[in-house]
Amino acid sequence: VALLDPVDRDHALAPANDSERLFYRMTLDTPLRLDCEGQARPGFAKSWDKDSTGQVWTLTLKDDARRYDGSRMTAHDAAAAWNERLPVEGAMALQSAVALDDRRISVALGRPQDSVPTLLADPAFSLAIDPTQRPSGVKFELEPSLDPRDALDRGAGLVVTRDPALVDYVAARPEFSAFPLPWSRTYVLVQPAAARPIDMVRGDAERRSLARDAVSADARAAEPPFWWNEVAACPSGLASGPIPGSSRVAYIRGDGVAQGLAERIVALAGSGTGLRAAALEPAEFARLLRTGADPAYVVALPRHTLAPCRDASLWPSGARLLPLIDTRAYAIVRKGAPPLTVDWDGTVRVVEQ
Amino acid sequence: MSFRTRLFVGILVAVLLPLGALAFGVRREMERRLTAEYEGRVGSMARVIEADLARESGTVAGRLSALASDLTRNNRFRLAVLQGDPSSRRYLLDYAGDAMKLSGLSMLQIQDSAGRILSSGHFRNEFDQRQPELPRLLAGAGTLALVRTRTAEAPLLALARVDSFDVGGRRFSLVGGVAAGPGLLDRLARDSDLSVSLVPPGAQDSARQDGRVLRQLRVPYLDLLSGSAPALDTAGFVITQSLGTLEQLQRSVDRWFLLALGLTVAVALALAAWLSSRISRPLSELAQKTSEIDLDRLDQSFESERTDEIGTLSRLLGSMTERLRVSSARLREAERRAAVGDLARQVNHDIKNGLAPIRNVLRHFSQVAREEPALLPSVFEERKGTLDSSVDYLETLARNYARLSPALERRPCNVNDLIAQLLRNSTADGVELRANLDQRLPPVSGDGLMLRRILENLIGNAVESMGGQSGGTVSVATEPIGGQGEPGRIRISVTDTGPGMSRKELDRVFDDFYTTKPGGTGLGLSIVRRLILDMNGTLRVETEPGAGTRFVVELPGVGEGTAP
Repeated sequence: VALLDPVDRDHALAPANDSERLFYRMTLDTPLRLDCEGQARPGFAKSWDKDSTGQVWTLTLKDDARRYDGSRMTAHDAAAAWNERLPVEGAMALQSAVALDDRRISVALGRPQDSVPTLLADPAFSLAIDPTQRPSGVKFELEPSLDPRDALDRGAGLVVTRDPALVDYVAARPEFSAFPLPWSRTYVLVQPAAARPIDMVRGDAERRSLARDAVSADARAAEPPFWWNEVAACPSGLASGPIPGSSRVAYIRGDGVAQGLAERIVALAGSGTGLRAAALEPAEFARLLRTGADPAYVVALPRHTLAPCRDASLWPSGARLLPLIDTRAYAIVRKGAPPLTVDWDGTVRVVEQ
Repeated sequence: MSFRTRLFVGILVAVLLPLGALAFGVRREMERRLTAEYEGRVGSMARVIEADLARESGTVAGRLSALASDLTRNNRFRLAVLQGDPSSRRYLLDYAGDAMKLSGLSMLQIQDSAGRILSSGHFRNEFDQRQPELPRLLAGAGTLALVRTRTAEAPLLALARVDSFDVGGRRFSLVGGVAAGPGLLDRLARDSDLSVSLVPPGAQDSARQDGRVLRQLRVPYLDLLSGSAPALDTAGFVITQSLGTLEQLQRSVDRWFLLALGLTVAVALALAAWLSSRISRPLSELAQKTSEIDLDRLDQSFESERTDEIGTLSRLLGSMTERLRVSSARLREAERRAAVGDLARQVNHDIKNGLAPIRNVLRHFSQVAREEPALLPSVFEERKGTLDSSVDYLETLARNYARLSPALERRPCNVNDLIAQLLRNSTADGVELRANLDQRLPPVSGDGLMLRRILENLIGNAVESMGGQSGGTVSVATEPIGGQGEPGRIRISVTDTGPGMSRKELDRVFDDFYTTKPGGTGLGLSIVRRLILDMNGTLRVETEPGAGTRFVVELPGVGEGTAP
């Protein structure tokens, strides 16, 4: 598996790119998994039950669940790890986790649920698993500076890419197959409440134009539903306005799609507005986005999330979100490679034959 | 203003005026020559820049021509612009960016005949925007023009040209150029002391702030970001002389000038101090000594070994004081003689008074002896009392006059013998008495008794200054003074190792009734001084607190000018 994006150890519980998602999805595991249709499947928990209120769920761990060091995974390990993360993930719907015995964990939710709490499939609840429990034969090559064509030509069996040129390339290579993955990312124009509205993209025609001409990616006009429209009940984030004099449409450096969208917005706005596109480092971008210091941000949001309140805390309260386009990645697979499955968020997972 | 201050100011003015004129002249000449040199270099640089701009224009034109030629043969471009082929749409949008990088340009834009941007290299996503003025105005500008346009992230200033080509009977414009940023200006400015800046219209003044504008090359200018309808204007490549070198030289000259100024002040101060010590201070000291001279204090010493005018003046004052001393002695002698005359008349009167009864008694005795001799014994008994009282009166008179000071006797006196005799008879418990007597000492002309009183007083004072403490020393020394051919004089020094005197004590030491000794009359040194003056001599004191005291007596030798 060739990982073409940087993989940061600190992003294990919140992957930020396709390579991190691919890597951590196969080196970590969650108590339960969601397939591409949203169906819950066992992770390191083999079963789950609810009490009569639907607010407390009991998970039973698999007998053979083992930790990264090969030792047996216990309910105490999982409960301790989750409780430690709860302050960080405070916006999530889980209130506490208690080990009932060596194999059972009791999870208290913020509100009752009839069906299994899918929140537990979020990477925030993942734990490192024994490498021997991964699909056999899977080896990761971290090559962020390598041309993906070279990675394929050097023998990689799986590459996840959003580069149409690479898809075009493998179309001419019979030993590879390219599969479009689900639409997994929606690019949104986030404007703090105090910013002057940017309204050049009013309808689907403009969105389609953006998807077709402004970016080099497999894109379409953003299609609802949008989960951020359902976060009104979440705790409010910071509320501050753009710094006077700032005229930046900011995006994360290295995100070519966001850059294309920001540039197109600047072009459509005309020279009289003074708007300009500005590439920011990820940490700086996140900091400024949270406070709303600039008039506009082009933000890549996941099309699906299991923790909407947590993800909605990325932007200031009251901000206007204008969906622009959806994008998706491609899985390029060498023929004869192990079969793949796709998770709820479009992340590829290699499965044992 | 003191003599020293005048000297200092005079030296400063004498040196600073020419020094300032020199510094001013050097600065001005330096600026003139540097400017002349720069003007020559600017001419060369202007020609080089014009040639560079022409070459740059040619290069851009060549690249645009090559791209135009490529586009006329490019099938995907043709399909995209003529057929609206969707699959070629992205190729068209990316074409200008790729072509711009390949051709080494910083700006590239393809427009259709309506001015719609089909593809942009410097701002990929400005496609479909309309900018018909750009190719039209550039075509009107002729060759190269400065264009201020924008990228997605910042304004862009480019030296741009326009070309055109036809595809399928439709006309397309191709605008391209190179960035006119610092890199271009650095390439144009090949002289480190001259700088080239690009000045947009209306901003000429800003160039002058950093240096001296020497030449301006005009270039057509088109601002697409002004907000108003674009129109051709004129900008300039301004060649400025960096004032850094000149200012550095001027600062260097200023530093040297300040250094010279500092040295001048220091030298002037030193010179003023030296001249003052050589002239002003001796004159002040002479003035001070002269002011202290009066008839009772003619013992100031004006000795000097200097051979200059100050030395001559000092010696003149010394000889003048000497003459004053002689005159003063004569005056005192005259006064004394006058006093003796008065005394003689008083004595005459007193003796006559005393003799008159005796004469009357004797006449009475003569008359009785001649007329009545038998009565003589009884008359004698009768008048004997008168005789006795007259004789008593005369005896009393004689004793009283005997108490008056006798007149000075002047005869040669051997001072060494007198000192030796005094030291032998002196009693000084615990105090060592030393004599250092020069055997070449000539005799002095004076009264031996008075001389004895002088030396007794000085030696006695010296011994008493020890305060009875043992271990002290009193030294008495004599020496002849005066050079060959000069009248002989002698010097007597009485030196003790006592506590010395303060300045205040020294000032009063010769005053009448001033004493520091319990029971002292305060007249000893006063009388000694008068006696020495009477002998036409001088007396001075050298003393410091804690360092003892030295009395120096100088007397004329036999034959030296003395008061008659």
